[in-house]
Formats: sequence, structure tokens, C-alpha cells
Amino acid sequence: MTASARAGQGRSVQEFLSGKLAQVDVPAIERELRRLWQEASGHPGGEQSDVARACTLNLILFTDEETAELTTSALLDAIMLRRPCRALLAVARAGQVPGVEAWVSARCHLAGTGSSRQICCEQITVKSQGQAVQALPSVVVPLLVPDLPVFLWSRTAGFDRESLAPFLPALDRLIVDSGPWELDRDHFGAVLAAAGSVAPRLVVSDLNWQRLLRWRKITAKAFDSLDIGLTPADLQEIDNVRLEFVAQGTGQAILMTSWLAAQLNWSPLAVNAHGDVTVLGFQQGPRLPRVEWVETSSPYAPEGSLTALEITLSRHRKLNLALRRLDKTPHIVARTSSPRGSSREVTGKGPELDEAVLVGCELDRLTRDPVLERALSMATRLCQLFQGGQR
Amino acid sequence: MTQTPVIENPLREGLTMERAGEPCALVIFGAHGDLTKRKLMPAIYALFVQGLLPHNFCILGTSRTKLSDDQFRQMMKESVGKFGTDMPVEEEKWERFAACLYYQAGDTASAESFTRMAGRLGELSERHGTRGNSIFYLSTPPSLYAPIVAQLAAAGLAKRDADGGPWTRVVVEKPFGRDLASARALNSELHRVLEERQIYRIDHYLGKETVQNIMVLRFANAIFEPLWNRHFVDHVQITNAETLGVENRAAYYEEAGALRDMIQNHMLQLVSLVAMEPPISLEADAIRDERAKVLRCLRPLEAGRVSDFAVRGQYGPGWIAGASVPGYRQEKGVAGGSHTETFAALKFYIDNWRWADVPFYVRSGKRLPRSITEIAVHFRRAPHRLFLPALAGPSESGTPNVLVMQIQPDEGISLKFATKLPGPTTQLRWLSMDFRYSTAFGVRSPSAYERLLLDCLTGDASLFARSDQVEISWEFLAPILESWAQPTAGGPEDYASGTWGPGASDDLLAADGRAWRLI
Ligand SMILES: NC(=O)c1ccc[n+]([C@@H]2O[C@H](COP(=O)([O-])OP(=O)(O)OC[C@H]3O[C@@H](n4cnc5c(N)ncnc54)[C@H](OP(=O)(O)O)[C@@H]3O)[C@@H](O)[C@H]2O)c1
Repeated sequence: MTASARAGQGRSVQEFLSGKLAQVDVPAIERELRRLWQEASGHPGGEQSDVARACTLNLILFTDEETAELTTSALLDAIMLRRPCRALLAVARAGQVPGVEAWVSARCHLAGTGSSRQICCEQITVKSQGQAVQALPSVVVPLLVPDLPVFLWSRTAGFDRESLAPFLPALDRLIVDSGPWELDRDHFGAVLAAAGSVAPRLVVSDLNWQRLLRWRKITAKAFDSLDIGLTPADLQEIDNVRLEFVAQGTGQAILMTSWLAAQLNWSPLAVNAHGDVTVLGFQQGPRLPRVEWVETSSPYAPEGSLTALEITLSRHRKLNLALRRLDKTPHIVARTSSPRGSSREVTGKGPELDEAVLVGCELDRLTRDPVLERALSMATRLCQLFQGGQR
Repeated sequence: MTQTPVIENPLREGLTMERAGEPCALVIFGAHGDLTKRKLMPAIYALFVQGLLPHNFCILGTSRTKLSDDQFRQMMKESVGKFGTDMPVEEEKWERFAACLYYQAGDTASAESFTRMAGRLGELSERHGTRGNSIFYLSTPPSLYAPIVAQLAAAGLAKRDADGGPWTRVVVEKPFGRDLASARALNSELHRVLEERQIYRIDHYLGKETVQNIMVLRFANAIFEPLWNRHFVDHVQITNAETLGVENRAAYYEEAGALRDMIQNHMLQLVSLVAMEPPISLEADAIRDERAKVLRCLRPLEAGRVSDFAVRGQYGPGWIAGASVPGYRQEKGVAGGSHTETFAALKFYIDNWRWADVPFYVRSGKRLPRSITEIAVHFRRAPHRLFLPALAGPSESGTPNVLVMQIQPDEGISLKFATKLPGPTTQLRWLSMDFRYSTAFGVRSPSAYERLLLDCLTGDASLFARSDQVEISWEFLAPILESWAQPTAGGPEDYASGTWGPGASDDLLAADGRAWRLI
């Protein structure tokens, strides 16, 4: 036990409830939590206090960030407000000196307007460094609350399959974010392989998929809604798809393309990058649809975000979807045009970008999404084609 | 003849599209009234803020009071600010919302008002792209429901869906009739113009999250349903208690009373949800069929034995939360010799395979000690009472396990069970295992009106009462209404405000060796 850990023992319950991190001895984490809760409830095992402990799921937030407790604090607050859980912040840092340290804290909010009752969730932070990173699962997994679903949110730049492997058998859902991923490393395939290793229990989800939801919805709607005038049969007549996205991070472009290709049964033939433009060739029966990715800039869309999608259909018809700022919020406006000049328009809400909201959506779900899984497989094929072309 | 194959849209797979309804205009009759201000407008605004209203949508308010569009907008803004507590008015959002709010003064007795309304709706349909579809929300005195629908038909504003073209839906507020004859008459007036599926009879209890959870609790969990029958359930108690008195609704309440105001609709709907068989699907009519079946099985009350099954009371002066309050007959607008009941308690049976001989006790009253609505399923005792001497505490006389579904406030579910007190001797104690929505899910629950309006916008009638349910419930209560209306019947028994109703209510259960739950 470190000196600071010893100093942390016996911390006051006020500090614990205020959200301050209290350092605890690793083997004694549960015991210390029990003690703090007992004190918080006024008397041992008591129910009378104004502090209610709530937990509907386990959320492991896996990160390699040095200052993770600071960068994730507001995020966890926002998540716990709507989905009470035991949050386990698992930090795996590079470093020379191996070590594992742990802290506990409560995150509380008032039960409702006018209520003095506090609803509290607990956060356990476990930081590991150097070789001790391997020990992280052995500390975190036993701290999971039994009988409640277990979500692991991997908040690292790529997908660290090796470090995450020991967690997988304990998980119900693995949450990744393919937003920053590029074609030159196949993280998509790594995620699918990880999930496959403990199939069928583990379900994969991707924040990027959720981010694209509104693009996917309005694209789907354009092909069967009266407002826009296209039909599902037109999906067999796509010649070209042009995707514009804000420079840096091709994850959205990859996933959107993969979704279209997988759902429309397109087989990928080639992927070529020329400067700011990437061209992907596909085959759909006798047709050879093409997808172009074009980097752009936008004053209000963050890096990697899609800003426009143009689908060219046979007979020179076009479907344009573009991000526009209406009433101060981004909306996606869909419009069709043909040589005869007809043009119709529908609008959908713009993409949701807030990370806490995106994660929250994933925490509400436990079922698998075969459409996402197909899109991830397609993304893997695109990565492989790209890498093959580079060699 | 060859059929053109229907081509599916593969891009739709896995996408649940938002429940925004089709384009339509919502016309509110009684737009200057209390219900519009307190419940409807805050709910519509909340739907707007959540992006749940159709894209092509507008609201036309109407009532007698003369107001300009802007005055109406201002009045609604104030109401949403005052009553829409969890969805505060934000200027920018309100401006966009207000742009689809309109008002037209008119008396429902005048055909000319409806001709003008037709013209106005035509204009609005052009401006907002509502395609001529309309929802008419009747929030007026109930005597106007049938005349309004007849006038709408005469002005060409309401017609049967089967006739094609733009659709019409009519939302009818409670009360739906005041007895069987008037409910039947109202149904037949409405059916003269509309098909049953175009009529949405509001029972706002069905829009409450916890009420919808009754079906989930029963049919999504395998552990409760095997116990949910006469072999394991001793009896069921349903309580609706309010601390409020009649407030400013004396004119309405004097004509209604607790039986008509609460039991005929809300309480019997709760009974039907607790007692129904699993529906074959979640289709509106599949669920409503099962709810109606329960009501059909209610054992008819014998006219001569009403007092064995029904009790009524009226609040006298007393104390509520430390303040002294007047009795019902001293309230403004109440007749000095009023016989209107402010409390009613019933005992009845559901004569079917599942519930034969299981008594259901239902009570509803004003000026009771606390405001609460709950359903308590009391299970039978363990067959062999091994631990009886060890059971301590006041609950030992009651039935052991109770599953409570609390509808309001503090929605939740709790299960009472016995456990051993720590220590060397075998002392038992009743404990409650509690689940509260507010603790488990931090999310905001939509108000009942939000849910019901959204369902109406999307054409889902599952949470609305159907004509047969309404008529059966009136038919069941007819002997009580008739008996209480007899001049020889005397009046309701007085109870002091702040108590749990008249003594006869306790006697109703005591006669069966039971007692109301201490809440
Ligand atoms: N308030 C509640 O909490 C509540 C709860 C459940 C059910 N309800 C039901 O909802 C309905 C409305 O209740 P409420 O409390 O809002 O009543 P209210 O405050 O008395 O409002 C009645 C509305 O009807 C209008 N009206 C009356 N006669 C009219 C006529 N001849 N022509 C045109 N408009 C007329 C009034 O217009 P003016 O004001 O312009 O005269 C007013 O806007 C009732 O059926 C009630 O039973 C109410």
C-alpha cells in the first residue's frame, strides 16, 4: 500500500459524496465503498437517509489518457444523471514504473426539483502503468456489480485488442468510436474479431454509427417517401456517390460507404487515394457504382463529420443531402433534381455530436445490430483493399 | 393478372424512424379553458421541443372569448411558462412554435363559426402543408361533444375515413356520458359521423408511464404471471387518494361525484390492466379486446345489495397538512344539502377462470391524508405458518406478501416480504424491496398528455378507451348510481378531511376479515 493510499483510508463521507476522489487500497476497494455508503446512510444498513444509491448497469470506461479523471468527469456526470451506474474508469498508461492505484468517489444529484433526496452513483478509478497494465482487468472485473449489464467503452484512439481481450468474457456490450479511424489500419476487423472471440454474448456498438444515424435515416427515407419522389427500385440505379467530409478522420466516410455498400449488396473492387480525393469502386450485378470521398472544411461541423452526400442515379437524376444551419442548429436537407428540373425537399435534424448523448443511447440498448455488423465487415474489406493497393 | 412485386427499401433495415405523425392541423375546442392551459399546451410544446410533432403541423384554437392570434399566443406562452415546469419556455424555440399557433373565436352553436373554420383550415392547410388532415380536440363542456361533431360534419370538416381523402380524428375528453344511457347516446351520435377508430376517448391514466408498465411487469417477466391468479392472489386493492378538495370545479363535481369522476373511467381501466389476459399482440385492438373482456366479466351487482358492495362518503371540515380546511358543503359553488359523494369504495369480483372469488377493492376520494394512487396485489399466506410466533410488528395481521405498483407520485414498484432480524433468535420482520423510477432512470418521463397526444398524432389508439369499454363500465355501475339516486337512500356518510374516508369503507373490508393497506 502506498503512503497516499494509507492517508486516504477513513476519509470523510462528505468528501466522498461531494465527488472528490478518495484513494483506497486496491484489495480493499469494495470494503471501503461499503463503509462509506454505510456512513452516508446515517446508520448501518439504514434506509432513512436522504442519500439513495442507484445502479442499473456497469460501465467500464477504458482509456490511455494520462489525465482521464479530469477529461471524463463532466462526461460521466452527464451519463450518470440519466443512467445511474457503477462507473469504472480503467486507465492504462504507458510508463516505466509499473503500478496500480485506485480511488473511489460518489457522483450525486438531486432526485428532482424541490427534492432534498440525493441520488448517488459510484465511480471507481483504477490507474495502471507500464507492465501493470496487464493487471488492470484483474482489479476491474471483480468490481462489476453482478446481474447488471456490463458495458465497456473503449475511449482510445485505435482499438487496443490486446489490452481489452481479458475484459471481453465479462462484457455484454463493447462500445468503440470509429470516428477517427483511417483505412490504413483495420481497427474494424479487430473489433469484429474481438467480438467473435466471445460470440454470441458480446454485442458491438460504435458511437460513429449513432452519429451517422440521421444521415442514414434521411438517405433511407429519400428512397421511399412521397416527399422526395424516389423509390426503392432507384437504389439499383446508383452510378455515383460523392461524400464530403471535414478534413482529418475518415471514420464517418468509411462507415457511411460501408453501410450503403453492404445494404445494397455491392462488392468492393478497388480503393484509390489521390490527394484530397479517395475513389472506391464497387460492383452491383452488371453495374459499377463508384464512391468518391472529398475533404472539405466547415465552420460548424467538427473534424471528420460528413457535410454532404450526393447520389447520382441513372438518367441524370440526383439526390443531394447537405448539412445546413437552420434555426441555429444543423439540419440535413435532402433535395432531388432531374434534367426536367423538378426538385423536392425534406429536412431532418442534424447529427447529434455530444459524446455523452451518444454513449447514453448505446447504454439503453442490449440487442445486436446486424446492419452495423455487416457495415463493419464491409469496412474491413475496404481497409484490406486499400492496404493491398498501397503495397 | 400479375401482381407488381413490392420492393423493400434495404436502407430501412434496422432503422426505427421517429414517431412523428403525418401532416395535420390540430383544432382545440375550448382553447381558452383550464385544461388547454394547464395540460394540453404544455404537452404540445414539450412534443415540439423534442422534435416529435409532424413537420407540417399547425394548431387552431377556438372558444367563445374573442382573442387575436397574438393574444392567444401570448396567453399560451404564459400557460406553458407556468404549467410546463420541466420544459421551460426558450425564446427562440417559442417563436418557432408560436408561428404555427392560430386562434378563431366562435360559438359552437353557430353554423357560421364552422363555415369560417373550414375557410381558415383551408388557408392553414396551404400555408403549413397539412394536406387537409385534422384532429379535433374537444375540451369543452361535455354537453357540446355531440353538437360539435355534428356541426363539423355539416361543414364538411369531419367525415368517415372509409370515404377517402384527408383524414379526421376526434379526441374526446372525460367525462364520457354520466350513465349508460347518455354514454350510449353519445357513442351513437359520434358513430353517425365517424368510425370507431377515428374516436380517441382520453383516459389520461392510461398515458401514465407506470400504468403502461403494468403490462410490461406482467408479461415481460416470467416470475409474476404464474402467481397472478386466484391460487396465489388473496385480493387486490386499488387506492386513489387526493388531499385536494373540489377546488374551483364545484359546478362539474356537483354533477359528477367520485364514482363518475374517477371510478367509472380511471379506476376500472386500472382494474382491466391488472386483471387482463395476455393480448395476442401489441396492436391497439388486441390490447383493448383483452381489457374489455375483463370488464365484461365483472360480476353484476344486485340492485338490492348495493350497500354490501359500495360505500360513499363526503368530506367534512378537518385538517390537511397542518391547515384547517372546510367541508365539502361549505365549498364555493356546492349546494348546502349536497349529496354528491367525494369518496367512493367498491368491492367486486371478476368472474372468470383466473380471478374467480378474488375480491377487488377500489377506493377513490378527496381530502384524504395524502395524495397517492397505487395498486396493491396481496398474495395469500404461506400454506404452513412455520414462523408465525416469530413475526413481529403491526403488519403481522395483514396478508404477508404484497406487490405494490405506485402510479403517482414517486412512481415505482415494491414487494413486501418477510426476513429474519439479525441476531441469535429467529425474529422476523416485514421489509419492502423498492424500485423507484426516479432513482433507477434519470430520464424525464413524458406527461400523460404528451404520450396520448403523440399516440393520436400517429394514429395509435391502444391507450384510449373504446366505445364498448365505456358502455360496459357504465352498465356495471348502473345499480349503484340508481341506488344512490333514490330519494330514500339518504346521503353519503361524512368523514373528516384528512382521514381515510367514512367508517363504512373500513367495514367493507372488515366484513371479509381484511383491512385497507396503511399507506
Ligand atoms: N381541467 C381539468 O383538469 C380537466 C381534467 C379532465 C377532464 N377535463 C374535461 O375537459 C373539458 C374542459 O375542461 P376545462 O376544465 O378546460 O373547462 P373550462 O375551463 O370551463 O373551459 C371550457 C372551454 O369551453 C369553451 N366553451 C364553452 N361553451 C362554449 C361554446 N358554446 N362555444 C364555444 N366554446 C365554448 C370555453 O370558452 P370560453 O372560455 O371562451 O367561454 C372554454 O374555453 C371538460 O369536459 C372537462 O370535463 C378537464
